[in-house]
Amino acid sequence: MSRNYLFLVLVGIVVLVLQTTVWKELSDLETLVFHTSLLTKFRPDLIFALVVLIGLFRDPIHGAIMAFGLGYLQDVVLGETMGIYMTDRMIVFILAHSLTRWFMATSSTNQFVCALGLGVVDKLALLLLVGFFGGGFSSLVSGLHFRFFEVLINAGLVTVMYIPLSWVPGLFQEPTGIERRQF
Amino acid sequence: MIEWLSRNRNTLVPLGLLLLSLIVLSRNSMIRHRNDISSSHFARGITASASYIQRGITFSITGIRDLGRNYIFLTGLREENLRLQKQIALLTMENLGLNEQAIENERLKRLLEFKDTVSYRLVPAQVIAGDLSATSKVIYINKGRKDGLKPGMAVVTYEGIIGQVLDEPGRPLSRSSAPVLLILDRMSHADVMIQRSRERGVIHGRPESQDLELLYMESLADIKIGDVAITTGMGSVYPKGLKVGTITSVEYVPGALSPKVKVEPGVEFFRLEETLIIFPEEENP
Repeated sequence: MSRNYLFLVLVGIVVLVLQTTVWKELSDLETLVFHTSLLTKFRPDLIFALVVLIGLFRDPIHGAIMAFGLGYLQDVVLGETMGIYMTDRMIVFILAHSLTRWFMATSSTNQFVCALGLGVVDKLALLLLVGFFGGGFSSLVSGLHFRFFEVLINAGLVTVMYIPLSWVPGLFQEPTGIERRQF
Repeated sequence: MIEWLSRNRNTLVPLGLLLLSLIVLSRNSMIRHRNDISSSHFARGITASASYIQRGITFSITGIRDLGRNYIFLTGLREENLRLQKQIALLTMENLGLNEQAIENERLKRLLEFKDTVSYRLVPAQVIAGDLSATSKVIYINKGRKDGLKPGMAVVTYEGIIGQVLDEPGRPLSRSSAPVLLILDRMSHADVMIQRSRERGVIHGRPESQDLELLYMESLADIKIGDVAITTGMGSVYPKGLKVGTITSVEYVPGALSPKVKVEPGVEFFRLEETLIIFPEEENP
């Protein structure tokens, strides 16, 4: 179990670093080649995808701790008000885990649809949290149409990330049928 | 109580962590200034680890991007370089042409100024060929019989006299071109005088040394190096007052009737391009 925690912490750091470096370089490349700056307007959230997968495939206790830890990592690295992503990730995890009693999480289509819905909840939750506890509503309200594309991208990332992570032994526990998992 | 907690831990743990995160968020949002918050050692460790990885990735991506950029855009630069080189070559040629025109313009302006200062009629002509061998000093100009030229007409420039129009077997005066015997030729001579002292003599060509010799001066004639020799108007070829050259040496030989005087021509014959033909007053081209 500690191996899984360590693995997820490392994966969390790696995806956060990738988000802050590779995406930036891709944006620069887009500006250089195509003379546009679309990529700078939105940002994929790999941690969100990871938390959704944890919610769908992990038990509630360890999964909650993992989601909490990933949210904390995101708060530390991204420099937002400490606690915003922690709270948001916990909300996403709880909802994702709740959905597992109603559908088969191993299906890519189910994963995508679930992630879409959770993505909308994630954006709304962030909007409210930042609005009440952070810098106000204006910074998030502007560019709402790009948030929609982010929701789509993040939903796609869930299905994409599931494939390699499902090969890690013991990381994800695939549920059988739609029965509620017992811990 | 413990049993209840144990039975519902699947629900309580996630909700408890959610509550904890809300407490943390509330606490941090109450702090107004960011610099009042001191990060924990764990947080500093996380950001330090992340920064090393970020630096490594950024360095790698930047290297790959610069490599691609240098290679891809270098081809465009090479074509641009070739295009600019061609343009430079064309502009250099154009510049040379413009410089040439400027020099010619200056030369023609001087000819025109000279023309305006004399009373006789001057017709311009260009040098089209030259035979400046050691034995013969002849040039050809682009005016001929159809322009009214006749043998014996004087050819000058603003720098001084050049020679006279020829018409002889081997060097005929044609309809559109004329040979001009330079004063450097051994067959050329002209009646001259020293502008300062008015001492008179006869100029004679010395083709082997590219200069002139002043003959038949009096033995005690007042001549100095640097004196200017001009035409006297005698001999009905060259009008009076045209520059012939400058005295470069005066040598008095004991027993000789005349001093040996060398004259450097006023005209630079090897750079001659335009000339002026003197038409007598009664002649109309």
